[in-house]
Amino acid sequence: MADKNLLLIFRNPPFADSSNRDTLDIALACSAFDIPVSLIFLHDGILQLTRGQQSKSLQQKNLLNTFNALAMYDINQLFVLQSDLQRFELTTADLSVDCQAISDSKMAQLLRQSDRVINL
Amino acid sequence: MIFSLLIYASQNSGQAEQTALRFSRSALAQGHKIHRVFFYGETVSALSNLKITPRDEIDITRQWLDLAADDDLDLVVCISAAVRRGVLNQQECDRHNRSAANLAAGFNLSGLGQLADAILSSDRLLTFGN
Repeated sequence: MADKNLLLIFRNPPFADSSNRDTLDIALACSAFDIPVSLIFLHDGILQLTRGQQSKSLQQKNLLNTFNALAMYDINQLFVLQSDLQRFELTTADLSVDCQAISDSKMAQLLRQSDRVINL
Repeated sequence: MIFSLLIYASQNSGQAEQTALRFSRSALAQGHKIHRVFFYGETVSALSNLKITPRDEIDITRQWLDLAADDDLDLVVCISAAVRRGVLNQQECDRHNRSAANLAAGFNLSGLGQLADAILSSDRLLTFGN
């Protein structure tokens, strides 16, 4: 394992721009370099994970397939905020990927514990 | 201190890249090292040597190259971000059977592994985004 860990922040909704795809690609590449990677989905970013996205009608690639495959890359630390779940009236059961719902103060702790943070 | 920079911004619609350039000059002038500048996302579009900058405007790409010449900077461009935007070096031009290569000389196409290496090899990674 590398001696630095990385936290990646997803804060944009799906299909809006390329930032989620670009951030996901960083996750895969860094994991391949044995860097421990955690992902957190903030604000509209949580919508990236909701079940049942019909991307075909948009003729866009659905990133959910890759998010669902992250465990194969040893990326298991996925976080959402309880406050964001409340705001969108979601529960973690509405999300396609296994995530830990954490408090805002736990997020502050997560940020402090992370050696590197990338927020595209 | 050893810095690496991740540039993720459109050159034409914001000042993030210019801020990154100013930061780099200032850090180098103060004796810090810059391990790598990694160009990712929309910022890559501006690295075509076919780009024409109006005479009364600053060509940021040129300024990166000037800085690199003075301080031996490693300017790395994400290969997948580049080819999807039609910014090709000779090797990619040949591989994809295109009519011309247009990546500005002085920049190197490589993979995201170079970003991972930059993360591991630097004391700080700074992102200049939108």
